[in-house]
Amino acid sequence: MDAAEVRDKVKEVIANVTGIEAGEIADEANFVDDLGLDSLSLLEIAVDVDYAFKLGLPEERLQALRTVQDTVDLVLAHRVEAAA
Amino acid sequence: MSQQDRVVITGCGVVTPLADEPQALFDALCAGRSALRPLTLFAAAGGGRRRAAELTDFDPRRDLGKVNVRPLDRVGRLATVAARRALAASGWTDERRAEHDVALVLGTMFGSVRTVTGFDHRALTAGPSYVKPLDFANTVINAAAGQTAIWHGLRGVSSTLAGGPTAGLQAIGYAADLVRSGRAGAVLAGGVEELCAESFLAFDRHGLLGDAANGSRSGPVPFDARRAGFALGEGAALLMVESARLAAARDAPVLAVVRGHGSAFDPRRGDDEGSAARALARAIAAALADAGLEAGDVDAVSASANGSVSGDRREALGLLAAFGDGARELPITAVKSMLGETLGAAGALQTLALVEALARGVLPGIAGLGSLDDDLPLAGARAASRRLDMARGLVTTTGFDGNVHALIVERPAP
Repeated sequence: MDAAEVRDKVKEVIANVTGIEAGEIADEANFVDDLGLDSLSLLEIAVDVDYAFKLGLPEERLQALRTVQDTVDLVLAHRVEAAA
Repeated sequence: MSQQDRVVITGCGVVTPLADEPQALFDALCAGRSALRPLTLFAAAGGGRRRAAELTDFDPRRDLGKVNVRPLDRVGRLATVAARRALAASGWTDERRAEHDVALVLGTMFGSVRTVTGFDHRALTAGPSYVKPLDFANTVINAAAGQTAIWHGLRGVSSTLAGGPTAGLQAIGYAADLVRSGRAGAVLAGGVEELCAESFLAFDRHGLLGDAANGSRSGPVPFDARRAGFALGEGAALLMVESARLAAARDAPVLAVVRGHGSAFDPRRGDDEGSAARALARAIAAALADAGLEAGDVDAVSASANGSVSGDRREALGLLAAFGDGARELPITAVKSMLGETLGAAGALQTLALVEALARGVLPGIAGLGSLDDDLPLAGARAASRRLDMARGLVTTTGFDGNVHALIVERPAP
């Protein structure tokens, strides 16, 4: 899965939680400032991303996510770590 | 009690499979239209022949706008939309709510049992790390009330009443008490219930659903000698219950007066027919005493009967116990013949149908009613809708658990 595919999947997860069309979510969108999400919705996105990519990451790394790009970067970095 | 101290109803909001607003709902009930249709929401034994009063095209965004509704489950969405409609119908605008608290009392039987099940299912199948945080917030019994209050900025008391099929009526009674005691000026009160596999399968396994026994018939027929069980339905109904003083101060039209209400419980849970009938009679007597009225002052009844073999019989016996020979000719309607058994929402739907009946001078018939049981002489229960001058009506609700509740509404003086 390349970066573009990871980004599409992340946006799909966000769309399921927010009801916002995936195509309307900008690559740089901030979850709170741009998408207006509350803490429970942020947590739901973190859980769903963790589950979708089978990351098994510790809670604090998931809670640090602020933007779509953060999330894509985290998934890609984890895949590099896992492959190493 | 002076006119100013009275408790009145100033508007209603509904979500039902028959109509989206009370007048159209009442028209449908008077026309004998049934909300029953083939079940599509989930799979059930019996496949395509299973029927329920299901909302097939409910979209909360039509009322709430293009917003994220994921934090609300189906129960929360039904309640939030019904509240939006009741607030609009009663004239409680955003501006008015900014100046005056509005409270909320919501009745429900199962609440978000489907969300609870989904939460557990996810934990068992995906693992405990992957439970859904947004679902977790909706696993509590007062989730729908909380979501509704958050959505509409309701700052008054927020209560949830669980009382099976009596909950929606108990909510209206409790709201009336809040207003009478001065603890609240305006209260959205009523009930909500969703159709879901969890409740359907449980009632089905108990053999209580009529279509399993008699799939060819069009629907449940309350009080009918051939009745074979009830059909489940879903929906939400909220009424704006407020002080007459407040309603007058804001020039709000008064749809009805809440005269009084009463509760009772049958600890035998229905294994003793006489005990069940006496419980309903006690609740009706308490409601009459609360209202300062006598049995002869009641012009019509909106009954809880849903087609249940034993439940309808107990309710009929309770009416006979409460009204004596007067019960024989007492005009009775049973809207569950058309709306199905909507459990926590039912009492509120029965009430708003009766409020509309008092205003229009028409009592809806009991759809499909043929002949009554020989020993249940309720000649006032009829299949056809009829013109009838009614000043006061009684709403009765009877639960599976022994809860019974009765409430009296009155047509406002012209």
